[in-house]
This record gives sequence, structure tokens and C-alpha cells, in this order.
Amino acid sequence: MRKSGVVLLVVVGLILPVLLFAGGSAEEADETVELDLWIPGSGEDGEAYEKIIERFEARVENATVSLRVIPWAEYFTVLNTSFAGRVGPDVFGLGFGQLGPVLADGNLLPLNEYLEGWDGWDDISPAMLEAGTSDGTLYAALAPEIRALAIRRDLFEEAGLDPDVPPRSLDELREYAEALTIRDGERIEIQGLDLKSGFNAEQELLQFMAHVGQDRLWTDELEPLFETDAAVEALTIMQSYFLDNISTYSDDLEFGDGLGAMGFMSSNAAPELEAAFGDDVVWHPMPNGRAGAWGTFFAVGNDTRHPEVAVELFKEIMSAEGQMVILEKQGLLPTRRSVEEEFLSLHPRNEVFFEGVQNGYTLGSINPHFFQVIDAIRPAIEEAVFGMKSPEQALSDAAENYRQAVGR
Amino acid sequence: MKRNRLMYDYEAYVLILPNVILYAAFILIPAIGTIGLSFTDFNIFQSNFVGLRNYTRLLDDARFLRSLGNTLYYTVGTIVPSLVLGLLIAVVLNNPVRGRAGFRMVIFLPHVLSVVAVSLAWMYLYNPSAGVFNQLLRQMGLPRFDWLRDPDMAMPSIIAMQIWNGLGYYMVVYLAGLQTIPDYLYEVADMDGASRPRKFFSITLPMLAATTFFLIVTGVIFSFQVFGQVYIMTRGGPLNRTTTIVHQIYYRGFEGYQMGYASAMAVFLLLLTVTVTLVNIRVGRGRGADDAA
Amino acid sequence: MLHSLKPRAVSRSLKQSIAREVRFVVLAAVTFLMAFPLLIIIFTAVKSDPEMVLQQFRLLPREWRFDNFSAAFQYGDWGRYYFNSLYITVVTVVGSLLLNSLAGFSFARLRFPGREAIFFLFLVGMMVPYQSIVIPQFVVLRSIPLAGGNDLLGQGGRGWLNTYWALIVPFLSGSFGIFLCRQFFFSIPKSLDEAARIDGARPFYIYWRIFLPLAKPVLATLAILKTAHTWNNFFYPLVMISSRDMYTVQLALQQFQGQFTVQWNLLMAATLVSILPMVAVFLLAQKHFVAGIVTSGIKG
Repeated sequence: MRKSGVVLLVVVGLILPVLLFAGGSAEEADETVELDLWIPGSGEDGEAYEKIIERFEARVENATVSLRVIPWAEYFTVLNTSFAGRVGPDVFGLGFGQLGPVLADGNLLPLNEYLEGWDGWDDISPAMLEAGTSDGTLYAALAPEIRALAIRRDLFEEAGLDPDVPPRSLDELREYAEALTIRDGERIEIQGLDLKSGFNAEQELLQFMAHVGQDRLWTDELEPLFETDAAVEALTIMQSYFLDNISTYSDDLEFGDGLGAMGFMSSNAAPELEAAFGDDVVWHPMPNGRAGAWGTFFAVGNDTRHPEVAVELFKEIMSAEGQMVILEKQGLLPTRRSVEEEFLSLHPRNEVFFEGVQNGYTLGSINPHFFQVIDAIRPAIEEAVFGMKSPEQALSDAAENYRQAVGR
Repeated sequence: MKRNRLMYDYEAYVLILPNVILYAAFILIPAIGTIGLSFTDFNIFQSNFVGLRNYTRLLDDARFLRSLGNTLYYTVGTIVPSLVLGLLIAVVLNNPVRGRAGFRMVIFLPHVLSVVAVSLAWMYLYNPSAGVFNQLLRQMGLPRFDWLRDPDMAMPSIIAMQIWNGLGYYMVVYLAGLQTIPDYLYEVADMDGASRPRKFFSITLPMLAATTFFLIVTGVIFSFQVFGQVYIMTRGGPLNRTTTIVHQIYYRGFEGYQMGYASAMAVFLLLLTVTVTLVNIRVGRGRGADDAA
Repeated sequence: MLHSLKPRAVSRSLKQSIAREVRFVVLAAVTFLMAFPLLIIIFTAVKSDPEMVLQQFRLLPREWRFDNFSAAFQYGDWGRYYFNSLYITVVTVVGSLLLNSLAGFSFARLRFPGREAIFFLFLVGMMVPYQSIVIPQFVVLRSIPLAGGNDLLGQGGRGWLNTYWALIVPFLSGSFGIFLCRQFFFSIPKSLDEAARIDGARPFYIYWRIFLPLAKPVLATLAILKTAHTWNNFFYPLVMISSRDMYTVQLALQQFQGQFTVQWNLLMAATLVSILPMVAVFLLAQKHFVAGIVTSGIKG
């Protein structure tokens, strides 16, 4: 019996702290407003928002913000579960895949009425505001990353090319890539142009499409635009890089591992690439001079209990200072024209990025069926680049699958 | 033993009560919720009843059927080698061997690493250029592989990693099982002059039936739910060669906002697992592996 | 028999020692194969950043960077994360060992109507993929009555979300542990409890005084597996925990997965430190693996 007494004591001793630590999350003093801010990203990205919160809490009285940084890989699960449980955050980041469905169900606060007289209307790049606008109402603001042509100076020089003269057309791009590819027998050692073949490959396809005259994947009426001549031509070009052994099959960009001579790299990767390769990384505009923009949207939840205060936090994030902190810590680009001078002074390559943000394009208008687009087009790209289907066939199947999935 | 009402231990209900309450609250009720959702078009935000539509859709979803095939491939591919290797290692380690504790430790250690850590470490090993496997092959002048990026090698690569990762589990459970075999059985066999293989096949293996049964049942159940490895290492690619049922559940439900449909997949998986487990139990009973006292 | 003993004994002991050597060599080979990826992890953890980019494979680092360990832990309050993880793991493992072995004993050694059906219902719990029940489970935890600002009907507050309760209570039961214990108790000779029953012992007394002491090997096994499971649980706390002071080690580790390039060396360093508690538990538990019922039970 003594033994069981000891066990009992241990169990009680272990349970007790739960009672002491537990609870306490729901008590709220009357005057303070508590906001939840959720950001998709990695741990260090949080530092940007800690600074923004500091400024916000100093500016807005009686408001505190609790920050949560969640890796992209888990963001869908965590955000959707809390939406389903009706305890979603007040202000949060959204990816392209989430914006459409979340907005379609009326979960986002229409921002116009709260943003009267906001200095962002005139200052932020119209294309970037447009990306978060539906039926003339702003629901989210994009903190973009854009794609530009990153090249390796050392590999260019080895191949006898001038690293300061980038390819100006798709044909030139192909010639360069051909010359830059290093093979060991059949195996590619260095890819002339680093492309993705599966996950996120629609981004690569859209870059090629934009070069042959189409920078949308769907119409404003959400009809698919991926069986057009431009789409087929773009996929044919993209496919040839794989079939001709210039690019390797991969879901990641391997330029950052030193395995590509050129790549449509994200501006977000610039600091890391420069840390790894120093001056050997050179950024050029895309051959047609136009950049695709992706990134993170910021939005306010429609059922937040404190919409005015939440919008203040939104404004803090999108302020000039907020954008510059996000740039510094997270690498997402500023969209305000007023920061041009400061932004350009930080690094010469920022000229390419600034230009990209001002003239950038995104996939199309906000689409509640974004998933169905991706779900149709990624397999099509994969089947084409693995040589299992012709680009025409793959894309017309994709359009058909999309129409079927959305019931058109 | 005669079945006799007097022999019922009604106290048993009290003894299992805490487990029953916890289990009902945190697993059973949510699972019933999922079954309910499978008859709706739940999209995270709202739901309408749609009858059996999600289930009929399953049958002509080519990718789902592919994920079913991949899951079965993975299950057989991991369980069979793990059982054989795990048993052999456990039997050898049950004898006095120099450095026994060290061997056990090293073989078990992979199993205590998290799926995230293991998957990331093996992605590093499998990396076609920077990866250790290909660098070793190159230094030895042998042909290199694309491992996870080659449609034909992706699933075997994941299976190989999983065998490495799970072997310690099979070994430890077999070691626990070996302790239940009374020494006198071997002593009797020694007196009869039985050879080592004969002792293994006529004593060890039959006496481990309950353990093997346990490992097969749990192995099937866990393998049917494989997700983390696939999600981290391949996202189901290339060409959907590694997508599994739970990966499809995640993908459709959380990325595609089709939770109702994903719930139907989950119910399908549940029914499949129940069926396979019942078959396992039936076969196990026949071999005396699941015989209640 | 006596006269033939000597020569046979010699050849047998020679055979045995050869067999022992062969076993050793085979085991060493297998263990090396098993250890190889672990060694990669260990040595990668102390490699320098420039070396990570090199295309030439070397097992040992050119330059030993032990400061990777401190670099890996520079962000965040790791003392707090370790406390959370340790606390949750210890309570969960101790509680579930008691509860699971009790239920496993009941299902293996007691007779009661509906026994097989109830047990099978428990087994079904293992077959439900977590991804599919996370939303209903989240709602259950949010709706615990009178917790976290909730009213009697479980509405109004956040229930057990973001508390230790959420990370511990649902895991105190466990189909896997019940199943493992049940299979183990099957193997124990019937004579043991029959004798006790003839003396009039009640089921709980038989469990507590006879079966629990015999269950050391299986409890040691379960303790290790449950510790690993609880310690490594990532997805579940990620969904249920929202504030940083409640983070576990696994949640904090996610910070090393960058978006573009993974810092392999730092990730491996953090991973190594995160498994140290598991190694300790294994060393503590493993001597019980072989202290089986045969020696400690029947003969003792």
C-alpha cells in the first residue's frame, strides 16, 4: 500500500501545475483590446512583426497584439481549423490559394469604409492594390515578392557569356541556357535554366506565357485561359527545357544550392542568395521586362470584435515604415512609391525589384476556385514536361478538369 | 472453461471507465462528427447536406484510386521487411552479445526522431546533387539516381527510409514478446537435442504469434495513415506516384477547402482499415495469436 | 550420459563462441547501416556554412563548429519550451501507462459482456486519420464546459484551447497502449490469476499486485514509444496551441525550416539536442526490456 501511496502522490504532484498554469486566456479587462495577428512564414520573419506591433501598441492606446508565426506548410491547416472553430485571428496573412475561398464566404472585412483618407490609396502601386480588390472593394493588400532573372556571374564567364548582358527574348534565353548547361554524361550538373516541374510550376508557366502575350490564367468571369495558343506555346517552350536536358525535374528551385546558372528567382531569396554566392549573383529583369508577383496578402477578419482597431493594425503593417521593416526582416517588397528612394539606396538590384512591383502582374482576379485551377494545371505541366502528354493535350485536359470541378 | 454468468467481472466496466470517457470525448465524438461531415459539402465555413454524393465521387476520382494503390504498396513494402528484420535482430539481441545495449540503442534511436526531422534528414541524404548517397556513388564511380524525383524510385525511397525509421519499433516490441517465452521450453528442447533453427521455428516463432499479430495489425493501421513523410518529402509527386490516402485527405480538405469530400475519403479509409483488421484478427485467431484468456 | 559429457561440452562451447562472434559481426554491420544516417545528422550539425555548399562528400567536418548549437537556439525562450515539453510528456506518459495497462488487463483477463466489441471500438480509434478529425476535435476542445471562459454549455470562451489540458488529457487514453498491454497480458500464464481468484482476490487487486509488477517489459516499451510520440507530436499542438509561452520544443524547431533554403547544419544541431531527453528515457527503460516475467515472475 505504501507503494501505491507514492504513485498517487506523484500523480497529484504532476497534475497540480496544470491547474495552476491553465486557463486565464479568456479573461479580458474591459478597456484593453486584444488582437490576434497570424503570419505565414518562418521564425525569423516574426521579428518584422514584433517591431510593427511595438509601434502599433505605442500609437494605439489600450491595444495589445498577440503574434503567431506559422510555417507555410502548416498554415492552411491551422488557419482553416480555427476558422472552422469560429476563433479565427483578427488580422492575418493569406496566400493566393486562400484569399479566394476565404473571401467567397464573406470572412473578410471590406476595408474601404474604414480606410477613408488613407494615404495608401495614392501611394501603393495600383497593380498591387488591384490584386486584393473584388468588385471595387479592397479586402486585402499584397506584400509581394516578384520573379526576376537571377544569374551566376562566375558561370556566365566560364561559358564565355557577359553576365551584364542578359537575354532579351525567349530565344536568347534558350541559347544562353543551352550554353550554360554543364553535364556529366547524361546527368545535369548545372542547369542552364532552373525550372520547377511540379509544385508551384504554374508560376513558371505563367512567366513563359507572359512572354508570348498572356499574363492571366483565367478571365474575370473565371473562365479558364489555359488552353489558349499562348498557353500551349508557353508550355511547349517550358517542356523543351526538360526534354532537352537543360533543367532537372524538381519541386524546388536549386539555384540556391548552386545548381543553376539562371533561374526565375523570387526577390525574397535575394539576401540568402547573396549571402551564399556574394557578387556572383546578378539580378536582371525578365527578358520581356515584366515580372510576375506573388507574396502574402494581409486582411482583417469579418467577425473581429474590434474592426476599427484591427484596421489600424492593418494600416501599421502597410505603412511605409511597416513595409520597410517587412522588407528588411522578411524580404517581401514595399509597394509604396514614396519609399522608392530609400528602397533603391539599399542595394543596386532593388531597381529591378522596384520596377517589377510597379509593373507586375498576378495570376488574375480573385478566384474562389484557385485550388481547382492549380489542381488542374500542375498535373498538366508535370505530364507535359515528363513527356507523357503533348502540351495541347495536357492543357485542354486541364481546362476540361477545371470546368468539371467548378461545375461550368 | 465453461461460460458462466457468475464468472463475469462486472468490475471491469469500472476499470475501463476512465479510458472510455477520454476516448469517447476526444476520438469517438470527433470521428462521428467526421462521418457526419462526409454527407455534406462542408468547405470549412459552411455545410449543406448532399447525401452520398461525396462517396459516388470517390469512385471516379482517378487520383484517389491512385493514392489507394500507393498506400497499399507502401504498406506491404514497409511491413514485410520490417517484420523479418525486426524479428531477426530481436532474437540475436536477446542473447548475450558484446555491446548489446549499444546495438539496441543505435537500432532503436531512429524511431524516436520525429517524422519531420527524419524526413528532412533523408531529403538531405537523397538530394541528387548535394546528397550523401549520390556523392558516395559518384566517388565510387557508380551511376547516380534521382531518388525522390524519379517517378519509379520515389516510393521505394520513402519505403527504405521508413524501414530504417521503424525497425527499432519492431525490434523493441519483439524483444518484449521474447520475454514472455518461458525458459523451460528451450531447456526441454535442449534435452531433446533440438537444433537452433528448429528451436526458432517450433518454439520462438509460435510463441511470438501474439506479438507478430500485434505488429501486423498496428503496422497496417499506421501505414494506411502515412502522411508526414510524403507531405514533407514529395508532396505526393512526381506524377502522383507517392500520394497517399491521407495526403489526399489533407490536400482536398485543407488546401482545397473540400472538407466534406475529404471526410468521405477518411470514412472510406476507416472502413478499409476496419475490414483489413477484422481479417487480420480472424486469421490471427486461427493461429492462436489473439486468444483471450 | 556422464561419460560422454566432456568432449561434447568442449565442441559445444567452441561452437557457441564462434556463433557469438558471428552474431557480433553481423550485428555490427547492421548497426553501422542503421547508424550511418544518424552519423550524417551528427556530423552535419557541426559543419560550417561554407562547407554545406561543397559538392564533395566528407563524413567528418573540415572545421568543427560547435557554436552551431548555440546559433540554433538563439531565437526564443528554449528553457520554457523544454519545460513545456518535459512536463507534458511526463504527465502524459505516467498517466497513460496506468490507464492503458488497467484497460489492457481488463480486456485480456476479465470476462464481461461486450468485451470484444468495446475493445474493437478502441482499436477503431487508431484507424481514424488525424487530419480528418482535427476540426471536430478542435471544436470539442473549444467547447469544454466551464473552461477558459465557457458557460455550462461550452459556449462563449475558448475552452481548453491553448492550455496544458489540451495537450495532456486527450492522450491519457490510447488505443495503441491498451492494445499493446492486452497482447502482453495474454501471454502471462493463466495459473497466476486463477490461483489468486480461488483465494478470493478482486480484479483490481490482481491487476495491482500481480500483473502490474509483471508488466515491466511492456511498460518499459510503452513508456519509450509514448514518450517519443508525445515529445515529437508536432501537428496537434500546432493547431491547439497559439501563444508562444505554451510552445513545445517541436513547435519551436519549425523555425529552422526556411522558405528557400534549409539551414541543414543548424536544423540538425537543433534536432540532436531535441532528442537528448529521448535518449535518456531509452537508457533508463531499456534494462527492463529483458527483465521478463520468466525470471521476475514465476521463479521469483
